[in-house]
Amino acid sequence: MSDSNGHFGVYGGQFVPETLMVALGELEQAYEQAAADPAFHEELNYYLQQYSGRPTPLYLAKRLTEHLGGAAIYLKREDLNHTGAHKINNTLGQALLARRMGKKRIIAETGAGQHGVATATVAAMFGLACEIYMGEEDVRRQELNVFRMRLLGAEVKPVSSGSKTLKDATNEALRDWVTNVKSTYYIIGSVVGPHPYPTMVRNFQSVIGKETMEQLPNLPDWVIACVGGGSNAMGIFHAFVPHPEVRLVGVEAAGEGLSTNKHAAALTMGTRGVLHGSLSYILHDEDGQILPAHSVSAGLDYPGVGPEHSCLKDSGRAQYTTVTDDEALEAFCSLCHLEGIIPALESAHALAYAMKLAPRRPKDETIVVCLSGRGDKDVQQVADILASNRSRRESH
Amino acid sequence: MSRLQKVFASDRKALIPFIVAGDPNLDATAALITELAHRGADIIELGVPFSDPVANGPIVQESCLRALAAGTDSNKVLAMVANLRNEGGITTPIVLFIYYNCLYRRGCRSFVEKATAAGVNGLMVPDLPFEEAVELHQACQDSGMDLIYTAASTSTPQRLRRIAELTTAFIYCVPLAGVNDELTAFIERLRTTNKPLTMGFDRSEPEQAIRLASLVDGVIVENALVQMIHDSPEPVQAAGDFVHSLRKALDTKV
Ligand SMILES: Cc1ncc(COP(=O)(O)O)c(C=O)c1O
Repeated sequence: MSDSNGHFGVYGGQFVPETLMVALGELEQAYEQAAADPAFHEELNYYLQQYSGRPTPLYLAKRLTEHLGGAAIYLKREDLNHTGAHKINNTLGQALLARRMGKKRIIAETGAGQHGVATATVAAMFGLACEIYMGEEDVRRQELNVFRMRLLGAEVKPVSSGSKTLKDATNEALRDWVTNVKSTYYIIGSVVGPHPYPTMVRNFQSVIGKETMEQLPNLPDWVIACVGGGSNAMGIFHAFVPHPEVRLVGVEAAGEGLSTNKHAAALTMGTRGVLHGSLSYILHDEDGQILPAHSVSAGLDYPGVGPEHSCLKDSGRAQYTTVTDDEALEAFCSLCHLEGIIPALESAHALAYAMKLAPRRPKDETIVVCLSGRGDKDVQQVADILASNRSRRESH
Repeated sequence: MSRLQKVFASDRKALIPFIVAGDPNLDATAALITELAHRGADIIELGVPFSDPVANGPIVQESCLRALAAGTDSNKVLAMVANLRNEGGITTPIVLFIYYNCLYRRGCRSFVEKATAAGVNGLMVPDLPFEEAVELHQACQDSGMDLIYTAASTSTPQRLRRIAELTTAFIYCVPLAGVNDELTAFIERLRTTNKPLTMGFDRSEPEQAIRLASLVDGVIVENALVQMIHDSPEPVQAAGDFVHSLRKALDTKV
């Protein structure tokens, strides 16, 4: 899928300071050895099943399907993982790898806080020291997850530079790694960053698609996932990529609208560039300055995207579309009412697109939506938004 | 021999102040370069501001953000350099420190050609290891632009050899913080390559520069200078005096 320096077509690669090159080489080697070792997979599977609760169900959303009157919608319930999102599939894998490599200190970046929580969780379980970088803006937006991480024994380090969100947290984590490269393992939270991360994280997440395939009697017609950095999407897409009859759709955040510049649609609106160690579609101006992203959902609020998605976009194997903040909120509420499931705002983006698609497709088609996480972390924010929308309507 | 190579052909230790272009604005930067050139700098390392400078610490990042807020972009930086060359009579070699995305976005080859025409002598790209530098290396070679590669104390001997082969004027050496024995060993490994070596220093005491200069051929003055320019009410004077004091220390002690 990628060459020896981790290129997906022209994308990917290792655009990092020389200081990190040897560490990336060591990581690649350790990962390849682990990936070839049945004992590693056995141990990882043990934790995925006994600790995180895999396999996650594939649930036919019956009332939602009937309500929309078209294709059948299945939800891949990653929200039912321990810690409430798909992120733990990756952190379990990488923490086991860190342990194999003899690293005692773990760092991570986080946006919504889901990856931070998933990292702090496995660090606690494996007895590793853990520091999490998080943008100040996200610290404010995701108070509950900050408290969770602290409860789990991690140190949360607020990042006050730049846009104070995920991109800046990633900068800070990279700086930490440059300085402490010998003692420290950096758990990147998505299919981004320099090689081998995009491949490694995708492989750890690919359990989502493999299970989905086993859980359905036939191949689905559509597989839909939200795209922040792109890890839940790559995770559910990967098994289906060799089956061209399955249409793969990644949903980016259109924020307040693609014409407003307040969006996070790197694949849809961006151009080729280098951010955080790899070449991919990114949001930047004509001088190459990275543009701030925006989304109601902190986990999608990132101006870049994993390089494999850029490759899938160019080849046409996957399609990428966008959903606005308002559409995602509506889907969020629909799923609560119709299915009794509170989805993460990130996942609500994938759901919103499925809800547009389903009524236009025949009843014998199946759509799988990756429900990447649960929405408990978002309820306060949604309550605030709904209240302010209501008061705006009333004042008109 | 390129202008940069000539600097290292002389006996004296090279003094290389680093400043961020456009902080607080490009007119001030032009005045600073002029002053530094007259007060003993052998090479000016000019940082092109970038929104996400991961290879630098907070001091340079803040400086970059101020420069961007003042409307600086890479085209304007090149225009300023061209003006210093054409009108200002400044002949001191200039190395641009530029993150890869700024260069990539303008087009590698086209940027290198424009920079050469403006009077830039070398490029240093902190987030571009040699594996990814093939296109840029060729473009630099075609334009007669020096491309300076970084060696890290973590680099393997094979990597160090390759870096020394590729770099055209000098090697920028990055030690891991705080480990002194390793620093000496690192420099000794690089000495076998016969390329001039430079290293950054972040303090403001001339003694520190002297100690460093006993190990390497050139000293790059980084954070201390950037911070001084931001803090001082008379930045041009302060920066000039500082660099002059380092010049004197290097010339007498080394
Ligand atoms: C529930 C959930 N879904 C999706 C994402 C986006 O990440 P990715 O695109 O890597 O799956 C996040 C990120 O925080 C998340 O918490």
